[in-house]
Amino acid sequence: MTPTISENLAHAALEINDLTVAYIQQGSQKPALWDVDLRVPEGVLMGIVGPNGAGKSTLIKASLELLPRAAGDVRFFGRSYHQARRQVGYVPQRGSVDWDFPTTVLDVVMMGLYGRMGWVRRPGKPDRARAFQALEQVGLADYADRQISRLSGGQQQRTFLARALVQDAQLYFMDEPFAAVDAVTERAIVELLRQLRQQGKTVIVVHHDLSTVSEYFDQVTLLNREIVASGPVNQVFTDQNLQKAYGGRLNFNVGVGQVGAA
Amino acid sequence: MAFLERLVIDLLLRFWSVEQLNAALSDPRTVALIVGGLVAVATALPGVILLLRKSALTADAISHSVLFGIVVAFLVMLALGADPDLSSPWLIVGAAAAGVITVVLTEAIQRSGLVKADAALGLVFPFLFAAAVIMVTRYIPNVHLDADAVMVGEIGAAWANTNSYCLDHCDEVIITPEHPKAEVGRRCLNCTPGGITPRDPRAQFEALCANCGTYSAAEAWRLRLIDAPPALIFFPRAIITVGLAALINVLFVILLYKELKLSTFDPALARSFGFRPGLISLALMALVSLTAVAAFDAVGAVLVVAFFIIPAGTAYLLTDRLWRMYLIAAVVGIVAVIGGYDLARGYLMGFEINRLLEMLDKLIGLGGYTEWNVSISASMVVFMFLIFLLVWVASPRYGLISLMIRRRWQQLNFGTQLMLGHVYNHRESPNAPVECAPETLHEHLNWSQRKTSRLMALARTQNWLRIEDGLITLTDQGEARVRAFREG
Repeated sequence: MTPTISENLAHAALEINDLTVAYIQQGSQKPALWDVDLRVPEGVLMGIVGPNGAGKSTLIKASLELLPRAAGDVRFFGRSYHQARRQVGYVPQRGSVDWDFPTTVLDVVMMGLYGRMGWVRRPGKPDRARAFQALEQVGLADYADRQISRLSGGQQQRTFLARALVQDAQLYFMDEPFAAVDAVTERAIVELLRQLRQQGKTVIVVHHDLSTVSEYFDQVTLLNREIVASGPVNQVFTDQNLQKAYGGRLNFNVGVGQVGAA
Repeated sequence: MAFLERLVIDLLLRFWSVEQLNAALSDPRTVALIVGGLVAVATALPGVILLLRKSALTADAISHSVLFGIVVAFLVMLALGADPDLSSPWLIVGAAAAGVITVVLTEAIQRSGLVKADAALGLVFPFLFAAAVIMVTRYIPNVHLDADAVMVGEIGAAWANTNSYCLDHCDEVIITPEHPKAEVGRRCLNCTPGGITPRDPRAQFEALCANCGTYSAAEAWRLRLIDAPPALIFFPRAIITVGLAALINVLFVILLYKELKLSTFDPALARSFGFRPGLISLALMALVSLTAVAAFDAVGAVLVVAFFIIPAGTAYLLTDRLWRMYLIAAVVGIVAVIGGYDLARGYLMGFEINRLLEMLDKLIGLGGYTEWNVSISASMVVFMFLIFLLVWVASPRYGLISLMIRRRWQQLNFGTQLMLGHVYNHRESPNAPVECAPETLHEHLNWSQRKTSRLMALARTQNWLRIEDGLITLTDQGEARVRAFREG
């Protein structure tokens, strides 16, 4: 493990050292992530971009110990995931759950509070109120009692966001929250991200739309199995780095702010 | 077990007398309904979770592989010198372990990445079942395990398999010569024919007692040595076994309601909260195994699968709240148990099947077959399926009929939208007289005339369009509708 500068400084919200994750294909191991080092300071909105199969979701899942790590170490505010679990919120991809599950929107949001309740205890009135408030924040208060399959994709995404909000974490991971959502939801998510930053929270978002990166995020990580570049958007989000991350799969004409996916 | 039975009996005796209780517990129908109802509750609750986890077939696998656990536990007890009895709790522990082993083995095979999940399950449980069959036939030849019992159980005979409990006048009766009921006599020891007679003062006697000895309470009552009969309760064993499984499962889904919900809906979040979804999963499998064993005597290893899955599947179509799904599944199971018992005895909701058979016999000749008397548990499952069928077709929100109505309505709605949109686009163009004429509209949309006029009529009744001077024009409402549709 390389010695890190951060040891002398305040702890970063997220610090990944030498993380390698492998997946098994036809019996042999292949790296999905290759010796990743990443440091995300507290209070920033960080976008993670890269081509399909670059390992963006894998990076999140391996950090949260949802996937086994082949090597490396991940620290949250200087502590292991086990110790920092309460401070870490996760908004998975919408498709990762069964939306036909017999439950309501408010119920799903309340799930974000289960961690604090511990075993056996039931959610009470204050928990319902807290969940309802989060639904108001994402503009879904009118849908509280609705069965979750009767929501549009964007509304489902906002339900997940409300659930993350009630978790009241310090660090959030969001896996493609902007994927296939309507304009209303997109605006709501952006608004929410800004609110979170104002509260001093750190948010790491897997993102696929290069044209909005510089508008939405302070920092960006370009990933393609390895870290191509990571840092403030205006320094890192350059043609050269994008070319490196995406290879020949993109057409660029200009750098920061005007990149378009072909 | 005996302690629990005694507890339940004492509770019941607060409401009923011994005679009433014995009358109820010796009635085959009452006992079958109690046992069946408890099986229904015990199976429906884990069934709901299995269904929501899309692992309904796990119930099938586990109900087979529990036999392996029972047999291994049996052999281990035999080897340890204990005298294994088929109702021993250790056999249930063995069965629960076998259920967990099934799931663990299946996951191990699947994790190799060489075999898919469904195939892995299909590999493991038949193997365990087969191994169990071989062990039974090789090492335990005396145990009676016939194919019928394994497949469909013997719920109809549940009333006959009892433990007896004595509540009053239970003591052994010891008759001594001093006892008032003793039949005492005496025998002359030195009497001789023609010599000393029993009346002779020189005669010596020995006391004799004809009925002295020790009697069990039941014998004593039969011989009328005591004035009151022993108060015996004959308690069917199945009630406690199945009832315990039902109780455990009810507690499981109530206490771990939110943990089960979260680890089923979103295991990743459950893990991040430290709820150990893997552990919950194994506990669930252990409970499914335990339930399958408890229900084994009543409904067999094959039909129990239906008890796990059909009520849950029915409830899934009727509600979109988890707690209601538990409740409905249990109720569906109980209703099917009652309906199924009567169906087996020849009554389908008050209708006598025997009369139909008699009629058919006269009409086409069934060779005198007029007595409808079939497997009870099989009838319960058939009845369960009938309920499912009814719900599947007619459920208000998720049934076939409402689905068809909704689709039809969507088609009509979309059709009128297209029509309104077409009129909207062309309303001010120079060729509006052709594009928007009621007679030629169907040509432009390339629809049949019938469809066009039907949708036009629908739109007119909704006041979305009207016909003015031989031209279709949109009302304000119609225009608003088109705009709303386009903005999505």
